Amino acid sequence: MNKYTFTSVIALLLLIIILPVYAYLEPFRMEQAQVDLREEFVSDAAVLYVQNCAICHGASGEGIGAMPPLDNDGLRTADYDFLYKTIARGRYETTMAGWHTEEGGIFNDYQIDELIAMIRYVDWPQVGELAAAQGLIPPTLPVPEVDEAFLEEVAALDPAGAVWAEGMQIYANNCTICHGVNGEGSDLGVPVNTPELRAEGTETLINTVTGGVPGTAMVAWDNVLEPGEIEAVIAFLQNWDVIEGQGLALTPPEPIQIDLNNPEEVLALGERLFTTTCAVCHGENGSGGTGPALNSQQVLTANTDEQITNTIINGGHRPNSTMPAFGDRLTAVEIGALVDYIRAWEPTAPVVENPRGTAQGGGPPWLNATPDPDNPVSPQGQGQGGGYQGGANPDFQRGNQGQDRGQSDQGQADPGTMGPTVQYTGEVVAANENLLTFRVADGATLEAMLGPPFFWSESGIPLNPGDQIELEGFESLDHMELNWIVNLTTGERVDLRTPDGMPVWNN
Amino acid sequence: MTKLKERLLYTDKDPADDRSRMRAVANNLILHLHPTKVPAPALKWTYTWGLGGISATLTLVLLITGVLLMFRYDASVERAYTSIQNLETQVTFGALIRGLHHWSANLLIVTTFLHLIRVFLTGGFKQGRTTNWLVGVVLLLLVVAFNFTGYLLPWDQLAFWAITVGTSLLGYVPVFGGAISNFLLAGPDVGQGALRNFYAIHVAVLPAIMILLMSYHFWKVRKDGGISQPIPAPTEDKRPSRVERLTTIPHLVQREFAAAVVLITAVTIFAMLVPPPLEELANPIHPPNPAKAAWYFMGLQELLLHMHPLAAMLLPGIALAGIAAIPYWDKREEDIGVYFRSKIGTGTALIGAILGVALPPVLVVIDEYWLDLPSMMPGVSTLISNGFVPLALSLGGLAAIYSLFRVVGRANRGEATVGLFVFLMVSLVMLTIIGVFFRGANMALVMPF
Repeated sequence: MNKYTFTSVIALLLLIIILPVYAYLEPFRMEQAQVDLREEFVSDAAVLYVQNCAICHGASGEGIGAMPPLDNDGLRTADYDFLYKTIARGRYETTMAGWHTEEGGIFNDYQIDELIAMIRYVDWPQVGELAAAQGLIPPTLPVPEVDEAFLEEVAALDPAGAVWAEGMQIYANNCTICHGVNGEGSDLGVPVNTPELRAEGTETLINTVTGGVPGTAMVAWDNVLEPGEIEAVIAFLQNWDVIEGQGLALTPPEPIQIDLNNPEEVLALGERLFTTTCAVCHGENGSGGTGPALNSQQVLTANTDEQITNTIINGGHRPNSTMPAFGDRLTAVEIGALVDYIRAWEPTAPVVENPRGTAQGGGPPWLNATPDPDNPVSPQGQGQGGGYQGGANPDFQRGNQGQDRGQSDQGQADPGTMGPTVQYTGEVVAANENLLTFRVADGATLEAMLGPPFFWSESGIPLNPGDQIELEGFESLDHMELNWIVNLTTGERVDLRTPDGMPVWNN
Repeated sequence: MTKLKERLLYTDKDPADDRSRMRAVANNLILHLHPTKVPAPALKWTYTWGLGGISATLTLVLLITGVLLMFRYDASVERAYTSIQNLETQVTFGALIRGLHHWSANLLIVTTFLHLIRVFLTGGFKQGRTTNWLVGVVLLLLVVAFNFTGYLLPWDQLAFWAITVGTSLLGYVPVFGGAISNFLLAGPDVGQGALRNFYAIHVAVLPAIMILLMSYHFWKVRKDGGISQPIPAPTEDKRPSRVERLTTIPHLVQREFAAAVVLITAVTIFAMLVPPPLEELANPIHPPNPAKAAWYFMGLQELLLHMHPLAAMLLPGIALAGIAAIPYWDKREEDIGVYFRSKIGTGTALIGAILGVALPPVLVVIDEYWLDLPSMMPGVSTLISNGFVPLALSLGGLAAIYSLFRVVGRANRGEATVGLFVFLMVSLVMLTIIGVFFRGANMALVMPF
């Protein structure tokens, strides 16, 4: 056997050995590839979620007000078609819009698939974490804070004042988003602090809140609020003029205070606005995309601050530009901060060979026809930009102002929303998934959350109706959270939080 | 027992003597591409490095795996990327077949490039082989076109932006550039039209041309009298000496088979261990930073950073035309089949290689940090200051290197051309290395580690 035959035989032998080995391992490889792909889908979707969905469904899918929570097993096991249709086409009679590009939205099939994968497999608290890690603090809707003393003052106004106070608290938490802090109404909801409304019968008002108003953003609240709570809200609405007459009004959430004389704070504001508003088209740090690269020596040299300001206010001046006018959406201070931020690139801006964005000169030729100078093409509502100009936009802007406020999601109780520590001894009435209902000595029935479902299903202890329990917890945003719980009947104990208050499922 | 072994191993009796061996070659559909006997020196591994055969084998692997991939691939913007994801996660051996196709395609670029260099260095275009040299150059361009069109098909970020960068260069080609780009992309941007066109070109147009040209290339090698060989030194009685000739079976066939099997095994193992890249779904509004072309175009992209695009396209264009025209320039036939032509040629090649390693990085760094031609010539159009001037300087530099070999090195035309050619090839490799490894965000010079 000469050296060529020998080499051939060795190589063939190797091939013959390695192919079956690979074939044996192939199913495992495929399985692993599927797991990896699923994780990729979920983490991609989390970004989309934080940017587009968190404003209504909450940073960790916990739901905000009447907007449904997504972090539940019902949706996890819902079938694909249901989830796809809901996201792609929206839900009739709710504020859920159709998000597919074919429905005027911004997602393609692939992105909707990613979102479905996320609803099915994601560990929701991590979405909030991921949002923060990516610097994408989801814009939350500002809710006025109401303290106990204020409510006591309201309660003291009248024998029925306690109900008014309860109603005012519920209104502040759930209704101000659309109906305004002073009931003045907004694009999304009608004014409710009016003599006309108070003239309506109690029955009519209760029916409206309970059943919602079809075709508007007013959803049926009976899923979220107890009948007693709805009655309280109506009682509050009917007596708002009395409360106001005493000089008691809800305070709107405080906007972030920015020292305009501090250039760094202004730049930080500019950066935040650029990331949330401009980077979609102009790219991260102005590196370009659909829109021109702004972080470019040519662009920055050629344009004065005044020109940049004008472009932001009036939108792109080129025919067929998709740059919308931001003049009525940003304040002068915000635009000034943006211009400062963009200008600050100039010393380090690279010379970009061709700073024009992919959108310029794009599209079919008949859209590039010679523009009529007296009637410049208005890009409003065109293409992808349109998705951001829809009805949700006012919220988005308001959300920006509130985005740095503390926000509570499940498992991360914010100190600002945490009540004092309380201890109870009692008897289990029911333990349904992670919701514990128990009766204390004086006969009152209380509810407490046993941590997130995934935690309780793994680390929980049996809690049967009739078991004696002892627990320690605190009032969080709208429910009681536990530090620890002992089942005195079985002697088992679970710690849900470390002594410094960190939830154990966060580790 | 021996009888059984013979029955198992051979359908027919193993040809025992040279005459029947030659007959076996001549009467075989595939083997008759070969002559029945080949000169012994032509069989030397260190002469050909088997590069032609390796390239042909890779083409065959690509053809088979490519056809298999077509069963699961869907050339639509909505489904191309998911069809690759399906292939990776749902199809048994899908990842392996895609890996084989991907790595073979990239390796083919390397082997055909090396094959061109080998043929040039041994004067393989001489003694009537001009036509086949030109066909070979066209085949190399075809391989690049194959790779370029295939690059878009996975429709991931890498694919989308490499093709966007690549086709945007066409816009700078005078007169026809815009029309060609429009024709290829079926519109101004890379989209559904471009994907469909690239797929059609990749699986139908190019294979047809490739098969025709490859067949011609092989046929022509035989008709030109086999691969290039040195002219035998005359014997003492002034008669040309006879070169030993060996039968194709087993000498040539054995070597070819060994090379093919080793190659296929190596590529298979590599594809098993290193999965082909698949980045995120293409996103036309978020370019990656840096947005790089395919690696074999990075030399060209590097030129673009230093010159006006027209100049950056003209320089390699002129170099390519020069390479195609070499048979008309270096007509000396005495040195055929000798690596680097002669001792002097070895020297010019060595100097060319050293210059090629040293000059491009130095020039890149100088141009990056100090030299700024447009600001040195205020008021002059950048087409002149950043286009014509650097192009003229580069071509002048090449001419200077050539004359250095001719005048100082006393090299003849062929030997000086060898030096220049080696310089060009090494420079191309260096520019590619700089572009691939030393260019970071915004295409700024960075260290790769």
